[in-house]
Amino acid sequence: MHTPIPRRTFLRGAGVAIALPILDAMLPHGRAATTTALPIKRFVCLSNNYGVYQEAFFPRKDQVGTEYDMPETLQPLEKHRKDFTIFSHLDHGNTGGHQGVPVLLSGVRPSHAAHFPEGNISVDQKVAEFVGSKTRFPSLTLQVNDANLISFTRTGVQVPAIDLQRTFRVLFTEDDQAIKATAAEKLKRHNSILDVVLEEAKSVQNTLGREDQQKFAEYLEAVRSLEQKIAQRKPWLDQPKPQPGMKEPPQTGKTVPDLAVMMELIALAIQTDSTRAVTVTSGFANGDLGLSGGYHGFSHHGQREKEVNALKLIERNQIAQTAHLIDLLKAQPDPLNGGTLFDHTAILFGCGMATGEHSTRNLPLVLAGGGFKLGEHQVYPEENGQRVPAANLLLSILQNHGLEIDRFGTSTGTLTGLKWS
Amino acid sequence: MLRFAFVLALIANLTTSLVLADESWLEKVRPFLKQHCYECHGAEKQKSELRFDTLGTSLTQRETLATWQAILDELNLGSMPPESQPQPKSEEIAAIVETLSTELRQAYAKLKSVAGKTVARRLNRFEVRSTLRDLLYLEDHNDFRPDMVPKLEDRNGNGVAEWSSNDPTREFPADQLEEGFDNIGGKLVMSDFLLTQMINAAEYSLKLATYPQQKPKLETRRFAAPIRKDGPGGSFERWSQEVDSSFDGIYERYREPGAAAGGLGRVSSNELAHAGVGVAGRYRITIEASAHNQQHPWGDLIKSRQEEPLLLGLHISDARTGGMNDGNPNERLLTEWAMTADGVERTYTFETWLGDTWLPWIGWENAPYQRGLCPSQLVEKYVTEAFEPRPKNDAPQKERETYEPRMARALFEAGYKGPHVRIHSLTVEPLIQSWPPPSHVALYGLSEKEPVEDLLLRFAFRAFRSPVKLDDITRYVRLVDEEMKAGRSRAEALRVGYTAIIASPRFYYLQEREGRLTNFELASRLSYFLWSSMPDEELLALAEAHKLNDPSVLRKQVNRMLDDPKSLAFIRRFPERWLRLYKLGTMPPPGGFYHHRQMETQMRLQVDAFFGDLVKSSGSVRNIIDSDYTFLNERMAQWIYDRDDVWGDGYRKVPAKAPHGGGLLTMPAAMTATANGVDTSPVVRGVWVLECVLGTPPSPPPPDVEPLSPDLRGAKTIREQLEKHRKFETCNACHRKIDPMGFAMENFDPVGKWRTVYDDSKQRIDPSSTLIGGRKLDDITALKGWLLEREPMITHNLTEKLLTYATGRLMEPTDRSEVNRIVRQLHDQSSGFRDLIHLVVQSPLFLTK
Repeated sequence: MHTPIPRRTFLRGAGVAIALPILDAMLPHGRAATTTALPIKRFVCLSNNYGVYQEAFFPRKDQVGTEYDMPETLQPLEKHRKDFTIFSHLDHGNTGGHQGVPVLLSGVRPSHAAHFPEGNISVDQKVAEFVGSKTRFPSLTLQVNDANLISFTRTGVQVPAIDLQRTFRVLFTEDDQAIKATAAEKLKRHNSILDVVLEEAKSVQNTLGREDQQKFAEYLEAVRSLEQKIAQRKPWLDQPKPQPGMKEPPQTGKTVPDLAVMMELIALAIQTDSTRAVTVTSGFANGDLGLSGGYHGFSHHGQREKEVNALKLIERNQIAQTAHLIDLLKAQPDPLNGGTLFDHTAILFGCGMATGEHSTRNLPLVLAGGGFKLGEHQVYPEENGQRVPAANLLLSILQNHGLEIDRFGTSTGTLTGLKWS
Repeated sequence: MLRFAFVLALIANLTTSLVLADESWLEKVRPFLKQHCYECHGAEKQKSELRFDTLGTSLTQRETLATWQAILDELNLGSMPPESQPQPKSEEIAAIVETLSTELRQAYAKLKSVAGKTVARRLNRFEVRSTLRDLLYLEDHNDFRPDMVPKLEDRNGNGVAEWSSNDPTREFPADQLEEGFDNIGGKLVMSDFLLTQMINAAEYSLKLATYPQQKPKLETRRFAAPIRKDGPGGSFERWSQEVDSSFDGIYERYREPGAAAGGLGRVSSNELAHAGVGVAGRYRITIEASAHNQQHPWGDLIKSRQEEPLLLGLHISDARTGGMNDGNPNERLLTEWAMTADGVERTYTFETWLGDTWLPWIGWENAPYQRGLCPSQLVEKYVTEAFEPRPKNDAPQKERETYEPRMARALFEAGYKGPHVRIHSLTVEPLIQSWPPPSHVALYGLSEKEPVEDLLLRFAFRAFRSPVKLDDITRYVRLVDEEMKAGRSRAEALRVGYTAIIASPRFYYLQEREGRLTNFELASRLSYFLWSSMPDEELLALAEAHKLNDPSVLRKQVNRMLDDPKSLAFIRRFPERWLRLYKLGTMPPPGGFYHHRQMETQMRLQVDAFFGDLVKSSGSVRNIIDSDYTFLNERMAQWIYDRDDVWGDGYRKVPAKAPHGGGLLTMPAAMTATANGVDTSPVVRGVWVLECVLGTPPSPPPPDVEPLSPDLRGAKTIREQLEKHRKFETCNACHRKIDPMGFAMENFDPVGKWRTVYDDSKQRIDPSSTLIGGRKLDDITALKGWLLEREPMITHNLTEKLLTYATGRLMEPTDRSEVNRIVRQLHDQSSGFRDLIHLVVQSPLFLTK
């Protein structure tokens, strides 16, 4: 149903839209640990920008529950069958092909964001707001051979992503003293600039008409929010970075090795509590897997054999890497919660566009880990008027993380049939 | 003329009916609802909690609007009334759908309304870049190339990636769009992230404008032949130098269609090619060259244009992105000279600004292509006494390898009779007189003694684009003083002050008060309209003298601004926004064609040339739809248009030819932007024509309509797949308006090449369709004819789009009568595009907030 929309109303003048825990816990890591409730959860989302070849991805819709034939593309996850669930017939209820891609983790289209109280904030950024101040990086937005389009802040900003090489460096490469000093000085300088600018902005605002004042409030909020972020970053400058126990990996430009290494870095990032919210998008480089062509070209397969086979290979690799990440996390003990890292890390494989033929119906969604009861093929109603919003799954994940909220984006409630263990 | 008046009357009618429409539409719809819906959605039963008998018409209420939208959706989908119930006739449904669609569309438009006033508009990314350039007196070769995508590249394999451009806004997030426009005040969002970027951009730009105190060693460098010391081996250039090194010869074109020439046919010093000139500034470039054998006896093998003088071309390119190599995305042709082919050495001079990593190189613009031509072939035919047959494949390697060089030596020793250019020397002379450069002096003054307040005052006046008093800048002076007290140098402290000024909302936002704009506000709006940048000295001076109220002064300024090179911003950006050409590059066709040949850049340059000419010569709006001319260069002509009658790199005006024809609408840029790189869709292109050209966007499709899954293996053409659009009444209602436009364009493939059969299925393309009322459109020519008949409508839409771009807000129903007036006046004066711009600038819609 097309829900029409009143004008933007969410701008607040003097207050701040960010959840309180960030303000609370402005203590460096180590001292803050005792103030949060256990268990500490993490969220990882793996994605691509072209969807999946549906026939090879989804199990048969009559095979509901634990006993289903593992479809071709999901074969690499067979060994983790008991630890993941695949969902059929969930989506965000919109049309629009490629425009569905950024909607994955919020259910809200960027163009409609103004009409939602939290804009089109994505799950990872919501988690970042909630616990981000406790880690060096509130979130990590990563990409391998394609643009990561799924992370959005509450002000509608698409969070820019970093590649493999940069990821390693930000996580583990210690900046030398000179760079640290420059960084500290920069923060101080920017703070002074912002103080002056805020003064100026307030004096300008008084001279404006009503509609303009509303627009201007955005600017004031931007300034205040920036000052806060600067204050948060300062303590981390003096903290030494963790030691990864590996040398900086080369970035080959080929998806198969780079994505595998990226999984390792994600596992390390979680293990060292460098972050608790990660999204990563992977793509395709000409020559990967022995294929020649482009991802977009393949995705418009038109049922042609060559393109379909190419897609299946690419997607299978993405699933294989998901399985690889699960392996890595299962192998590591969790220093914060006990058990393994996998127990309390929710891994979501999903795409905002369902297939390359531009459909956004029946999104591929696979959930593993995190402390849910999993191991099934969950089938939801297919008929119009009875469909379940995929945002319900996102709400369930967020509640599992400890957020006390009862709606997220376009959710109508938590996802029925998905239980915590 | 009569037809024109009729259409205008129609438009006027619509306006009045808009004002009157209140409850009357409910009367049209109620009987239908009563008969078919109330039973389940009325007083007695409210299935799905929906009730229609008490539904009002106040569409500003969210719930009411939502319910009416739901009714419309269900009717469109054909799912209500349910199958078990008696069904209404299709004409009835069509009528209700039509009424509801219109009402709802208006309601949504009203919700978006800004009461006809521009909301505080921040500068968008391109405007920030241009403004920083002008504010800080920065020079940049990529000024007017918003399509240049700065990338992080590790160019020397040392693991450190650097940006490929100096664009300070390269990490800015994308601006929010409204109907394709990225400068709509109410839509653009400010965030803390963007503010950080802005501060970083300011600091970066200020560093670019700052120069070291020591004047660098600037010396004139003269390179005498052999200038290019390690040119491509195995080329005519190298071979001729081995026989006579007193000149660098150019024997062929420097760029081949479809094949990388690898740097052949280009002359410059290798030293320059690796590092550029070293210091940015103005330079005089002098070439000593001679031309030979324009008419020659070797025409059978060397296909040059013997009736044309040889053209010497001066190019510049960026050493960082490829130097002299073919495929360098940062490259520009500066000028051409026609040479007299008498073998006499002459001097050619040109002055230009060069970035520190840029270099000049020389090419022969209308040279023949020589690929595949070997010296041995020439020797065989024309120097027969020296000819030896080629060694067989089983001959020793040394013999095979030295064969061509031996033949080449023989060729040149006998005297090369083919056409060629000889470069005898290249001189690069810096013209940098004063040091430090103007950008440095503007920031720090001529001496350390210059008071900080004066510098800040001057800077703030230009940055805020309005008069400033000392009171206004005390907070910046205080900031600079504090920085100096904290131990920073005067220059560093000043930079902090300037950064704060640039981050301030008085810089970042165009401030416009209610009612008629003041002189300074008008100066800003005008310069952001035509230059996408801040007003220059002349405009600011006129504003200060209150002269911009005078219509004749305003007119003169518009003409001056349109003749200024900075108007390239308007020429590039307006068609980009209006026709949504910014989509170019978002879904590039796979394969090497598009990338290696830099098709995207070529497509944009073609539109620039066409539209630029339209503005310059004030051509008629009709030319946008169809014209008897077009603009082509050699590459575009060969690769897309399949013509061999155009040569050279620059775009030139040529007669339009079938089947491509003229006009802007079917240019490769438009055809590529409305396709997805893999296939074309008549629906997408049809919607584009309706939305962007005619200004009558169709209603959005009903929800749940699945996108097309083309079966590219099979026998179905797109026409067959879109059959549902004709079979079902509710689909047909909109699609009979949309599809015909798109079908007529099916002969243009996803990059705008002409095709008569589909690539995959080899099925013949049928571009014909029938419009409402029975009129048949056979093909694109018929479509263009039909569009030309609707010139008033198209002009009306174009005017609205111009006004939107100029004022930073969408036009609303209340603006309609003024737009009508402008269109009428334009028609009465039989004037062209530039006159339309004048009418827009003089209109109250532009002169008030």
